[in-house]
Amino acid sequence: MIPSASIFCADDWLMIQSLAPATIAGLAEAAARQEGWDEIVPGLDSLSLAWDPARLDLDTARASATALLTGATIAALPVTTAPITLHICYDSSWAHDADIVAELLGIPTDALPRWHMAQEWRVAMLGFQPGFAYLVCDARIPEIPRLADPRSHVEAGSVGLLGQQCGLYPHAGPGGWPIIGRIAETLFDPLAAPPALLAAGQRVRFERIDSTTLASMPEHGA
Amino acid sequence: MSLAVIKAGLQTSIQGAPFRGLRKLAVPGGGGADSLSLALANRLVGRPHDAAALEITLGPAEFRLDRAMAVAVTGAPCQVAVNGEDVEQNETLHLGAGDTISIGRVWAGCRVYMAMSASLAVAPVLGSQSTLIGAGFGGFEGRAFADGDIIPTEATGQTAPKLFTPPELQPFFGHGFVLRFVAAPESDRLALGLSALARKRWRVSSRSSRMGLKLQGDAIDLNSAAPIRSGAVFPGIIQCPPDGLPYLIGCDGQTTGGYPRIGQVIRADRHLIGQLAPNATMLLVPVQPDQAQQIYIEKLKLWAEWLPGLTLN
Repeated sequence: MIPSASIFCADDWLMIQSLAPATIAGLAEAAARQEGWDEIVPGLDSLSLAWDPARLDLDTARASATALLTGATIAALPVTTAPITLHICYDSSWAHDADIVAELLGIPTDALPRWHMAQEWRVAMLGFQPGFAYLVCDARIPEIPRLADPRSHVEAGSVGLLGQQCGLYPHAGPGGWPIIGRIAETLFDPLAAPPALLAAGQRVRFERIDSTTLASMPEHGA
Repeated sequence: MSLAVIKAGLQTSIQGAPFRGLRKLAVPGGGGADSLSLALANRLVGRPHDAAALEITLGPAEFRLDRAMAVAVTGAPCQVAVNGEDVEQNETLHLGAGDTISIGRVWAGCRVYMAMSASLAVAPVLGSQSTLIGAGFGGFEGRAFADGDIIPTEATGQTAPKLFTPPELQPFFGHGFVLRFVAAPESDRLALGLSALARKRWRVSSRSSRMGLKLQGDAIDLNSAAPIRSGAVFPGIIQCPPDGLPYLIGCDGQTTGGYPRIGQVIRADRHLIGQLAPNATMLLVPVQPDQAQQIYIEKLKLWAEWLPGLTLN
């Protein structure tokens, strides 16, 4: 049994809350092997499961979730997604907010790329917009605030740091995360299989590229 | 074979089946915002309940067909005319090649559904022909219609017999709505309990879309307004942002959020969110989750004979 977790139940979904972040992706995979869940949604410290109330009653849903917890030990929940390396450009033309982030971290701006690449990042969840990934690491990161004046335009592939998370923007659009670089990879393509490049639980490494390399990547249309 | 958009109106888009099982990728369900009215329209032209149809927001809108087909208009009450002659909602209309159909401004409710016996010929994306406007994919070019668009349709439309929705099965939409709700994960932060949501008349503000609706009324007191660790939100969830005015998540809303979740409109009543227009008022009535499930099953039974196998998103 995973300690301290509790279950909140609405009429067609439930949330297993107060989970240790490292256990969530494994629990999600275990839930996917059960019958009856229409949606399985990892959060930063929770896992939510939704069902069709015409097919599954509340007690059965709750019992399935409880079975998931009692059947689980942290060690017994391997995550099957392979680690991935993302290619990132930290040049100042993309790292709009490197100065303020480095200052909050207490390091010189030119040390920020090395710090960012050194962390062991893991996808905690996808949220906000299709394919947007929230990455977490074990390092203690001071609370990085949202930009006081959000940008009206952030490029697709922009990499931000906010709170204790690293966020990857799949699409261009407005954004409030302080930006420290831009990756070459396409994070979300509705016509691809699978449509999202990343999945919850996946390990992510960052490898530095220069702006010429970034511009030459097909996704960036150079 | 096609449908010409003469007047697109405020927001007309292709909506049908929801996107399924993709919330973990942050893809919302979407589809028909009022899945019951969508199913009722499709029924009248002999199509599956969640077949892709036109969802017209508030009206007016106008279209021309280049071939004969059966058409049906359901949802929010409005004036409907074919070649300028008034026709009825909630019944099968047989239109000829070159006919125009116009949808007037709605008298109440928010969204009108126009189903056709000929399928819309747009490629499914992620298993659905529905349009996810915020993300820019699905439907027709991932967007709402614009004046002058030509929407392709299949040539093989079936003939559909003349039907009308039995009057007792036609939903009635006024300007006031009663929606039932259950507690959500942060409801225990409500200083006055669930009655903080229930004992008030909420008004829908103009900041409303398929993604969500901002409500106006007295600000809600929370014991703690601290943000939560981001986790799942679903359609019908009522969030309490720092200004204390509730935000009701719609079918295209974000899949996760960081604001306290203080309640949720129950599954059985969520299709009505699609009929909430700016200035509509609503009362929220608290129920228990097991009651909510019973209400859903009873509601499906009401339509079971007319719409066998119906599910509401």
